[in-house]
Amino acid sequence: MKISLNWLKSLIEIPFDIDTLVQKLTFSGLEVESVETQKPQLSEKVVVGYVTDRIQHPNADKLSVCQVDVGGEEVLQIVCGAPNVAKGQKVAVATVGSVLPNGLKIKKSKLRGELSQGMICSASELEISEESDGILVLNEETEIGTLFNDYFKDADTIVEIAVTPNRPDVLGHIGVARDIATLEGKKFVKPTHTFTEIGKNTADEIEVEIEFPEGCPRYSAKIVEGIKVGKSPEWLANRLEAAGIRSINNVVDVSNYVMLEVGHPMHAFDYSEVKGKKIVVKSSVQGEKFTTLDDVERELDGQTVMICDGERSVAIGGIMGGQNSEINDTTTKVLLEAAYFTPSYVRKSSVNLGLKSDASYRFERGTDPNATIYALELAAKLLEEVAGGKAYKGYVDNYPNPIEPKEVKLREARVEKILGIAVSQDQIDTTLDNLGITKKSEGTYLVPTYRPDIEREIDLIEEVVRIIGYDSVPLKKTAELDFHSAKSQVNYRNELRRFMTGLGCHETLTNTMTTTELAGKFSEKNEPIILANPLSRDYAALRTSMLPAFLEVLRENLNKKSGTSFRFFEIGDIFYRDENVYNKAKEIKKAILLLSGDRNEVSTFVKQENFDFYDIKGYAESILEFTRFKRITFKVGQRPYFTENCLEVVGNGKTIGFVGEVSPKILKEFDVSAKNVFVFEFAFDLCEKTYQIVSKFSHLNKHPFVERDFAFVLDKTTEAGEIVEKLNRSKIKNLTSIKISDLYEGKPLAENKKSIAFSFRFESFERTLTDKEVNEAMDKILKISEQTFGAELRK
Amino acid sequence: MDVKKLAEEIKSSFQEELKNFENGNLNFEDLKNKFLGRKGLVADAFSQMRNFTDKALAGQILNSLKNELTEKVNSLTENTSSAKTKKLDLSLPGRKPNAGTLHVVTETQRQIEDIFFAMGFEMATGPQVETDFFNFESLNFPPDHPAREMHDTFFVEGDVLLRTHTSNVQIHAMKSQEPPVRVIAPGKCYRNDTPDATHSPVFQQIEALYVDKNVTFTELKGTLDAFVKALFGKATKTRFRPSFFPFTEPSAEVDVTCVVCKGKGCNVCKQTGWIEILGAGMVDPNVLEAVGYDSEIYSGYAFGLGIERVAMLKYGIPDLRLFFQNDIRFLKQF
Repeated sequence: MKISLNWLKSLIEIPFDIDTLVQKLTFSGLEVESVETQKPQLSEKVVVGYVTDRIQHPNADKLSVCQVDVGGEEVLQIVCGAPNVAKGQKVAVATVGSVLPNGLKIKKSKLRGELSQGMICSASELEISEESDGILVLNEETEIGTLFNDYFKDADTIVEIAVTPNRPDVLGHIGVARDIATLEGKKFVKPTHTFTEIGKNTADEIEVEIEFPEGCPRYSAKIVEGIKVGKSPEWLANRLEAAGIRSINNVVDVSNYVMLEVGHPMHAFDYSEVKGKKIVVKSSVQGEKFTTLDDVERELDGQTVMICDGERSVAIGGIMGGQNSEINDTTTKVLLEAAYFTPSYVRKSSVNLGLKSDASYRFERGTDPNATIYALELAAKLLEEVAGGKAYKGYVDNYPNPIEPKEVKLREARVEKILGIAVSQDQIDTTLDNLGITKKSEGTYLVPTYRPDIEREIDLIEEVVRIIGYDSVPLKKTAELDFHSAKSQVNYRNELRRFMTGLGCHETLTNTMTTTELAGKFSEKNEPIILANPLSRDYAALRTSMLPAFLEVLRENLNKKSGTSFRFFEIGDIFYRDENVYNKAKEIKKAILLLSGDRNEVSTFVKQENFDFYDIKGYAESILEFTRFKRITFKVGQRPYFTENCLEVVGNGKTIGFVGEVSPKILKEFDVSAKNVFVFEFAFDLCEKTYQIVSKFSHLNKHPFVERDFAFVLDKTTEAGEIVEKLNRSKIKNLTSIKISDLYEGKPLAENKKSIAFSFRFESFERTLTDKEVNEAMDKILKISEQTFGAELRK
Repeated sequence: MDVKKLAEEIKSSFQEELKNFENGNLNFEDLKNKFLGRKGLVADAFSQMRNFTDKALAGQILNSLKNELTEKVNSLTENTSSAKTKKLDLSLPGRKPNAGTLHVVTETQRQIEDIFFAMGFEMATGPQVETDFFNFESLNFPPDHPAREMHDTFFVEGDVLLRTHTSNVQIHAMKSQEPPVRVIAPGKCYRNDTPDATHSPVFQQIEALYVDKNVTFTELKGTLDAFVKALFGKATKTRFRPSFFPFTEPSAEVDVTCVVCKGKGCNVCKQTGWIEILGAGMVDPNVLEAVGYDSEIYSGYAFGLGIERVAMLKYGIPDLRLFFQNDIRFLKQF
């Protein structure tokens, strides 16, 4: 809401400067967003001059040589190029030494041989208007030699306020004036308006029926004739423009003026277009078409408030008038409407129509149902003043169920209970009274209808503290802490994050929103969540996998050559539809790790190698061990976006996730230039449930262990894991670990053979093992390996 | 037995083993033990004392042998340590282990959470895909009320939408327990805003809620003041301006001393010395009633702030989009 300071000053005395005003408004809930002054801030060497003489430049057709009196000792000679300069004008003169807003410095100079001691300025050169046609000619009465800045001493200052949706009362200058008065400890009094009425009665010429009282509880009207539609006087146009509304003609401007002063929108119909001397307020018929005064044909729903005459619709109530009855150059008689429309109806219709107006903005927030007559009075007065209007006597006022001020109770003790400080009954009463909230009886207040936001005790408490100032409420230094909620905040999320950084991974933050295509493609079998009103293609659905975002992160980093070694991880969410829960959505916490590029950052003496599959598998093992899964196994897995190098990761018998190599096809689709990209995606929620800090110490073995190695020659197709698993399951006595220490293929081994070297550890917590025991165990290992896998000892 | 001969034999054996030591085939300890150890050759020779005829002479000879060898062995310890050291190019960089980083938004969130945990708040969570009831209606946004315009909402279908703030967690938290409730709720929120330097359709908020008997506006002010001092430094001040949120009343927007210029005035704070970072207020009685709390007995406060915004201010990050680009050069800074 743009407030004109001049307008405000016409309603209330403002005994302080603009900065103080801004401060007071902001700290009482009317946040000032900007202050813009129309007064120019020009160099003090720009003064008012009088052109005493003008002659044609002897050497240039388009230049004039002027003698200009600027109130100094000598008359200045100035060469001017503007065609409209003439003898006898009062003009703005930038004298030698002044600097114009565009940076131009004015110097004494010669133009085509003629001395020029300054410059006669145009409005655009002074930056007081966007464009200008020649030099700016000032008012004849302006005093010669005065500062040009002072010529604008009446210039307005525009204060833009961010009005919160609960304060429709400050959507007019009167409401703002009322708040300012209250802040000064005074009570605001609305101006009264007088105008002449002619002998005819409004009621004789118009009848108002309300068939839809839910949408329109009150409809007031007045007729004014003798109108001459034309341009508004400057003061009226200026005020509207200061408040951000374009001047159209005097009649339309008056209705807008009333809205901006009173806060109550109104509408003016061309009376000659209102058929049957009748206004009927109805509900629209579903599918009904109506052309609004912006020349757009609109289709209506079945519950919009329509203003109709005896034959047809003439306006959409509270939103916009109709083209068929709008004020035009030939209008001489107008029907003024000031009605109260129910906020929720206006809101619904405005949303459904996709049509907002200054009127709907106010009605949907709640105007004052008891301000309609006051609005009509001001309109009648102004029409008389600016359009020669002659008002008919009286009003037609259909208001079957008058809306009364609300009674709201307020207990002094409750103020303290909420605020934590005591406010005296006296101060409460005075503050509320200044706002127009009168005391009906002890503890009961009458809230005027212009404050629809105040309905409850808490609303009154807010008013009190808003006016006395939030600053006057002290900080309570010692919060009353009790320890009901104190509990250990061990938190897997943070622990895992730190663990991952220890593994050299960089945490990312990717978007949970994605395209519909990617949400569909990466969804396993569930339906993705698609938005009904997407922002754009990229923000149209919720992701069903974190992988696409990670491939994009990798792509962007590769494209920018921001590094050569990438270890990214993130804990995030994925989303699916789930019809069985109230919000029809399942949110699953996932985590993802991606490795690509060099295994190590560039470092001394470290041979650069690329990440390979065993890196991602190793990371997965580390993470699961950290999470304290007791048993971790891997099964051959399959994912559409991984190559055949893919494992399903199983922890404590549950699928935790997948490790894999991203397939070249997917990399190509995502324009990822890297070849080797490895990913571990896992169920964060399952890990979170499993995670526990180690709760019990395990005794260290006092007896020495024995380590023995075997290298087996095997068929190439035999997998190391099969052997380990088989041996683990064979329950070989005292065998506590099997490590794979070497892999070899090639000569002298046969083409279809490979060698795997195992290192076996034997230990007992009871005693030192004997050679014999270990040898027996090794024999058993050899035997099992030979029988099951055809293994031969490598010589 | 001739003691002289024995001493010569031990000496020549020592010379031989010394060569082995110098070639690296014998380590120092073994050399020392072989000759001077408790069961070494010298000790062994002494133990044969009774076999020698001139015991005095034998003692002399063996003692001088022992001294000679001890001296030689001791000189070796000094020599070897310098002889065996190789001079390294110490200017070469070390082999740095790869160290990862947390995202700066996580890091900021963690700092904020830690302050609240220290104040006795617990963690609470709620869904991002939410219904109108939890996101709006129970938070005192009536249907068809313009207050809903304050939040540009993404809709899924019917009454399902993406939450526009973390305040939905207030309702879930209060519905699931009796007062007192003291929780914080961090999480992702969604608004239909075109991404630019200061807007993102997905952003993170953290919200705090405290409902109990005797929770007052003074306590809200005191807690918030303590919170911003903990987060931005002791010199930080707070300033409360009346505002409007449907779910709190009285409501306030809270400014803090500009983090960048410390209140002197700069571009970040538009020369005001203050920056707006929090929304706060006393929980509206309608919200308490919506979850079945008696608003006559209980009162509470709530406040919320944007985590990315705090991170931008704290670290001087000029553009919100940097957070989501995940350029590794950016990630490595924190």
